[in-house]
Amino acid sequence: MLQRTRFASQGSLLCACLAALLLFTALAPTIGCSPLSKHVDPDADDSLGGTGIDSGDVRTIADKMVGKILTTPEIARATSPPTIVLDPVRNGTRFVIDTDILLIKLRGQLLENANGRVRFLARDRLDAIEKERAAKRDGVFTAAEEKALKGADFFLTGDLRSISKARDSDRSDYIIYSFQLIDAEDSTIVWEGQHEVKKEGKRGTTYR
Amino acid sequence: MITQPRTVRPIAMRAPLWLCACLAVGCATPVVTTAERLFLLGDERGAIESYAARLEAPSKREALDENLLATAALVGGDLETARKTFIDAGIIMGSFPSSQPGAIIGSEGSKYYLGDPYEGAMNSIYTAVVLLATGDEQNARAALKNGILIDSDSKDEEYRSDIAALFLLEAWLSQRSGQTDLARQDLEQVLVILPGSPLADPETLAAANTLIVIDVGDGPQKVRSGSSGELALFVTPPTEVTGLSVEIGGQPIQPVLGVDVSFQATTRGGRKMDGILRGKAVFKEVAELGGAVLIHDALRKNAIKNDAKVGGQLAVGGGLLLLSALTRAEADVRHWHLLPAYTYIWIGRVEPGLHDIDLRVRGPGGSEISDYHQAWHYVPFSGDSLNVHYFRADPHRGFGHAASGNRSAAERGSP
Repeated sequence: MLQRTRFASQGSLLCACLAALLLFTALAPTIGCSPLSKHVDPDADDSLGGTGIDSGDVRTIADKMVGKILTTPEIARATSPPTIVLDPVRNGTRFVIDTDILLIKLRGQLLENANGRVRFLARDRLDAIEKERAAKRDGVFTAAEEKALKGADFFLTGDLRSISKARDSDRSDYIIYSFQLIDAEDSTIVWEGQHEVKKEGKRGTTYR
Repeated sequence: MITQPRTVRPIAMRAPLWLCACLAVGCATPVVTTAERLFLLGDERGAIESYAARLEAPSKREALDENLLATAALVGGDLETARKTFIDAGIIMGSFPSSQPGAIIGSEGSKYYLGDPYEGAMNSIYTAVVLLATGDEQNARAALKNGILIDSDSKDEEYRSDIAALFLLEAWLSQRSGQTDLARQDLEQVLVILPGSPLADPETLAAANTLIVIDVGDGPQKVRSGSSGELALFVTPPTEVTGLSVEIGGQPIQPVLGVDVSFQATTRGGRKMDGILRGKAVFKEVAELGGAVLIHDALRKNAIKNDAKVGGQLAVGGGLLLLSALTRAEADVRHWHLLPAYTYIWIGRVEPGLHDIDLRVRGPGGSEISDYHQAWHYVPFSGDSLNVHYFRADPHRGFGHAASGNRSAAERGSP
């Protein structure tokens, strides 16, 4: 009886070790050996995590703002396509970001959806434009017709503000993305749209 | 224009104090790689290339290597490389990688290096400095806010950042953007950390057009200790530095101690930590003990009554023992070992033009430590944009200087 018990125990121990080994083997693929790079859905959260601004936020904001801008009376009822200039978004968050990405995405999506109802002025390319104009005027290049540089009817700009909290390595960030269309003649804010995001990030005990 | 070639000393003479300190406490000596050796020799370009080559291979210490590369770039005056890599490192350090079994039971190389809070704060300060030097004030301010958050703990307001450089720089940028209330709040915090600081004055900041950052000495080193290396200790290299004397165009300026890096590494909110980080050793011990107890209990039950149900308990116990055996309990001592001992900051007004900068480090009793002396001639100061000058003063590795605008006009002269 005693011998049988010992065998049973040893057998169970062997099974236990095998089970643990199987468990470890099953977990092994999660430890490494994934492809170095791959295409991912820009709307999906990435594996790095983080509580900052993601591609999904940029895309959601553009989707949300474009429709509202195009239905603003000053745009929708304009007799000729209003001209818009991008003015840099102010960053009041704790995240180092290229805020131009937000306006560039908005501009692209507006132009795609506006069917010519709005025009954007390339003020960030003014140096190149002036050089080209001067060369045309000097006869270096041909010119179909001479035009005056256009003034803006509106500025499209924005502000990012946040409330951030920390506890050990955990973080919580509430960010307000605020965009405005400002009359470039009398400074009236003719439209403002906002998008809010709150994110929380926790690190496991491994990273304490 | 006075120039003088660098005096090249043998590497042995350039060995930083932290190496000596590590040997003195009998801990595992840190490995000095090619990149570090090049950095110590004053070959920042070579160090940058060496770190960049290391970064080509995927690694879970990417953020650390980026910080090291960025440090070499900053000291070598390559602001664009420094800006990009400090930002990249900061993004990884602020990320939330999911816990992985490999990270729990494996070696330190199996988990992402995310850095300690003092390393995160230093990354934020350097990011802000290089962003300011490249004309991006808004993102510089964002980096400073991030640094303050990293060094704080909001629950019950247990910790409030005590790094003067973060608040002083943020106050300056708030003042410049017209947010005087925020500037005032930051200056109040500066005065808590540095009572009587002459820079904590709104009028001084409003008139300022220049930031001088001076890193001095060798920073804290994290080393393994304990019978199986399960303890992580900070070793503070000995230093005689007590202050700085700096002149711009013959006029003395008074930099303040922006960061005492060793103090920040070993404290949170000014409170001393244990200085011992046990890390995975705890998991290993608990798993081993738990496994042993479960198996012992199962065998005892089986001996009393041949119970087939104890198999599950044995399996769990055996699994825990196996995990314990597989766990490598050595403490994770990866750290940003090129950080300085002290970071000094000065913000003020310098008239536009070419000026000499003379930098002397003071020791006990105010006597000069001659090894640290730097003299820079014909340093350009702009009247149109912010002037940012970064200096690294290390007796063992020579000198470094990075500046906004036209750096090439500045030449180092004879001490």
